[in-house]
Amino acid sequence: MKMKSGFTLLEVIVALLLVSILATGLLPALTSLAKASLNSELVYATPSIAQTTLAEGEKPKNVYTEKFGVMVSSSSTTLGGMSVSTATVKTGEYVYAIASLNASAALKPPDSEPKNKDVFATPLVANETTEATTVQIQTTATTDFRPFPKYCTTCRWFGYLYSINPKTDKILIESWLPITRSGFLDAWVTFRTSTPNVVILDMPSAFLTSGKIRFVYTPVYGQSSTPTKPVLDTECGDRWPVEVNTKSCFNIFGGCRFYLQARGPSDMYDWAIYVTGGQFFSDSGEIEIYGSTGTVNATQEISETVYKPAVTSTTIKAPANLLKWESITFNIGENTTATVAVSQQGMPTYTFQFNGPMSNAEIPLSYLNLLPDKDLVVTFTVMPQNYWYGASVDNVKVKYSVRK
Amino acid sequence: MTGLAKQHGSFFKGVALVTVMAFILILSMVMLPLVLGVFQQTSSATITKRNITLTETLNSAAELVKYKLSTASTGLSEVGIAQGRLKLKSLNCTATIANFGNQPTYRYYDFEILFTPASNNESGVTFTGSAVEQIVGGALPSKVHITHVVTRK
Repeated sequence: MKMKSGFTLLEVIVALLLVSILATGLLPALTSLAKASLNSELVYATPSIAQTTLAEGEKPKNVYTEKFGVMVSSSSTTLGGMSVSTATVKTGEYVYAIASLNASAALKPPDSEPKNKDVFATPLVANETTEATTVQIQTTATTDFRPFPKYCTTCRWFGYLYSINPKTDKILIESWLPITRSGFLDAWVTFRTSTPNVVILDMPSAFLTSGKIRFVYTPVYGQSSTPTKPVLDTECGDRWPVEVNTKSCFNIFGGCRFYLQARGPSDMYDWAIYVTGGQFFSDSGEIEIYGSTGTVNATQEISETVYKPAVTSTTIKAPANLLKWESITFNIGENTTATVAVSQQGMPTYTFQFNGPMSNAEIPLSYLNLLPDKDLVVTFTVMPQNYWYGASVDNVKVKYSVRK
Repeated sequence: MTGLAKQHGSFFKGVALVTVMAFILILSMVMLPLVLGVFQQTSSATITKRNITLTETLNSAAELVKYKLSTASTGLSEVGIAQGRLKLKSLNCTATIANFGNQPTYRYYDFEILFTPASNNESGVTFTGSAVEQIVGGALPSKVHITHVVTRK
């Protein structure tokens, strides 16, 4: 009998049934696995969805929101001038939120705000705010001096003719002429005296021939009583035939002293003393005006204004929100040398010098080692290059920037 | 049927059983990568989320520096956003290039920002970087450039 080999149909069907039954038991696990897989994918996708929403908003369509019920929302708010955008993505129980700051709004200051704040330094003349930045210096008469060449056009050898010592009211007549040379003197002074004053003219002993001295007086107009004639005394005798209010000539070698004094109780005189044509050797003379209580009011001829350096120091308070010290700008007038010193307490002093004229001269402060929390001390020294003319610095501005 | 034939029939039935069991085993092994894939995806989702969170937070940190430089002392130094809190720990000016001849002023800064995540499961990070502020004749910077930001644990 031939033996059958293989399975019968029944056996195969039974085997397949068994496999099917077993596989059916796996189906729930498979379904659960598929769900878990989907959830996992959705969770995986949420940060990307949120990031896209931040960048693009909610408009972009995607399969997660349309097919799998992922919820997307976005919002925007402002935080201290900064915009804050937030995107929230929700899938099932899982929520993912992410936010992004944007400072662009804060980076653009409104157009209405001044871009820069120009701040006047504390005025250079503190009590005149309208002309605060102008510095102009005029000396008073009693502190003047004159260089000789202005009055001696023919002399070649004199250093200077005379000057006034304001403390003693002396007018010095000096000569630096070498003994072997000669020069011509041509000078005059005028001044005003009151009774206590005694005017003494000391001519140098080396005063040579052909010179002329002339004393001229005029009572000051408006006095309560008629002034008496001032007295002229000399120690020179006939060698110096000089009289008041007349032409006087002399040709005697040697020095001499003249006294001039008013006699009335309160007489005031305007004086003029002329010295012309004489020749000096190396000696000096002087005009002294002594007065125990009175003062010598020099007239315009004597008190011609000259200009002296002026120093003005200013402290600029550092504002609390100071960002940095920016610059100092100013105009420099003609005939002016301006020296500017910039310093802070405990810090080095920076010094700058400018020669005028110059408009909008600028000292950039930002590269200096200046601290934003310390006051700035600015000192201007305004110096005339030629003392016969004024010097000025104006429109001084200290610029600094502040944080808004 | 002889005894040998009977023995031969039992042998084939045993083979069928083994075949079915092997089939089931193969089916299970097919499903194993699926299961593993799900777990791996869950794990990589955490990394992706962390990465995106840090990216956006880093951008926000840079914006916070810009904002702070623009608003100076009046601006906020600490902000709370969805992913956590950003705190500007330091912002130091390291150098200045002055404005000579109406040129812009450039000021260089180093900054440090602490990020504390909203989730307790995550650890905070520090962003450090540099910024350049450009001021064109004004009190406020016209531009702020963040040159770089580094994320540190």
